[in-house]
Amino acid sequence: MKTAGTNFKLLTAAVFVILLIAGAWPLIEHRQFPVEIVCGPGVTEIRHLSHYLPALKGTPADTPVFILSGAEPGGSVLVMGNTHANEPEGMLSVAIMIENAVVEKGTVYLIPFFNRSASLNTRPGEGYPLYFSVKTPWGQKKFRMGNRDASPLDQWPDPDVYIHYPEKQMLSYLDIRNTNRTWPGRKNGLPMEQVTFAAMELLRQERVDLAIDLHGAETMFPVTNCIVAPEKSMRIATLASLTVKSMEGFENHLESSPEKFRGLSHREIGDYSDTLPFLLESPIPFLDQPTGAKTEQLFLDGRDDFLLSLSRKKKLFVPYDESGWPLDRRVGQHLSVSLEIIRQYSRKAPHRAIVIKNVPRYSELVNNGTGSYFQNPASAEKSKVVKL
Amino acid sequence: MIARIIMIAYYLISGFFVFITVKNILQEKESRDRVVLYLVTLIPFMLRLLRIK
Repeated sequence: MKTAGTNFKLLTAAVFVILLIAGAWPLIEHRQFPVEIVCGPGVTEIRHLSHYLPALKGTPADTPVFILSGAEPGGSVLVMGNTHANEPEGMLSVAIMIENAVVEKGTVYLIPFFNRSASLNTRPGEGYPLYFSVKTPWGQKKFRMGNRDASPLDQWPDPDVYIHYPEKQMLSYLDIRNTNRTWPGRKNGLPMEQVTFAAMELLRQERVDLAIDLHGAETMFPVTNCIVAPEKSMRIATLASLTVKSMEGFENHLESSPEKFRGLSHREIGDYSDTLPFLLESPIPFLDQPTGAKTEQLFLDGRDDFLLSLSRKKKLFVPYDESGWPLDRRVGQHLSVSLEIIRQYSRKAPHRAIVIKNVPRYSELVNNGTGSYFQNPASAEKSKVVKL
Repeated sequence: MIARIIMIAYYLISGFFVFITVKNILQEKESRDRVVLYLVTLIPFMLRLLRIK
């Protein structure tokens, strides 16, 4: 046997250091990569969630809240993206609202990176890309791809069993880092419980009428292409779903929020505040298990031969053909359904109406592409560019 | 609070394992395989200590 002399040790140590740097560098870069959003003409104020819970200040869990106030008083709505940062359609929809929306009546609160820690996390074990880029008229706009749960660097250790507060339901240990299981949150809890608690404080203190949580789901999962709503939101959700189906021509259905499954935004927001909650799901073929490689292209166009084969065998819960399920359709659905919920609520409660202009709907997204609604941060006024 | 204490303890334990693994590498004179094994063992502890993964 050859002995382990100094030369061998130095050589292997050098290889080790090179591998460590090569492996770690992309992850460090990803965690520090800034997503730039240009504040549009409607943004009147930017706060952070720590405004509602100071304990979050300075932590990776704190996240900006963009406020768009109209000239006329009215109702208010909170729209959240990236509750699950591996479902970035919601974040893109909220970013389009921030860059384009003009509010004439009422107030709109927008949180593009609700679980910011999850957006700093990656999922390399499943071969996810670290980034994706959207084509715009001025070049490619690059975004971080995140994970479903907050980074263990920011919240760890996980318990063996997560006991939900305050309902005491036992949930999977991983869900303690999932901001769609920690509602209504806890003031002195773990960081993700504090994030949802701060959001509940926002809803309660600002007397927000509607909360819309934007998600995406697998095509093989029945709760996709839908609005999930509890009893108190169901009338508005039904009207919104029927209207987009008949007027805009895309499939959408309703799912009832289960009373006994705790921690979800569509359940707890309604139970612990006067706000009407809605959770929107759009189909993301990229998230399905039986697909080919998890490439950026699959994320963008949602086209996959294995899913096509499953669709022919009627194993999917959404219509699926050779055109796949492109990002523009997914973002367009979120925007149209969100606008429709707001419109239906405004019709039902005119004294609390919210009037938003200049937000594109489904057909515009499909025709023009998601990227055409983003401004170029390089040519924008520096004070208007927010790095997230 | 308890989570924070466990987190700090975990970093201390990681640091301890890095220390004894490096010490073992330096003391290893016979087997090249063991040197490589120690280096592979070092990876997760290094990544956590450096707050990378």
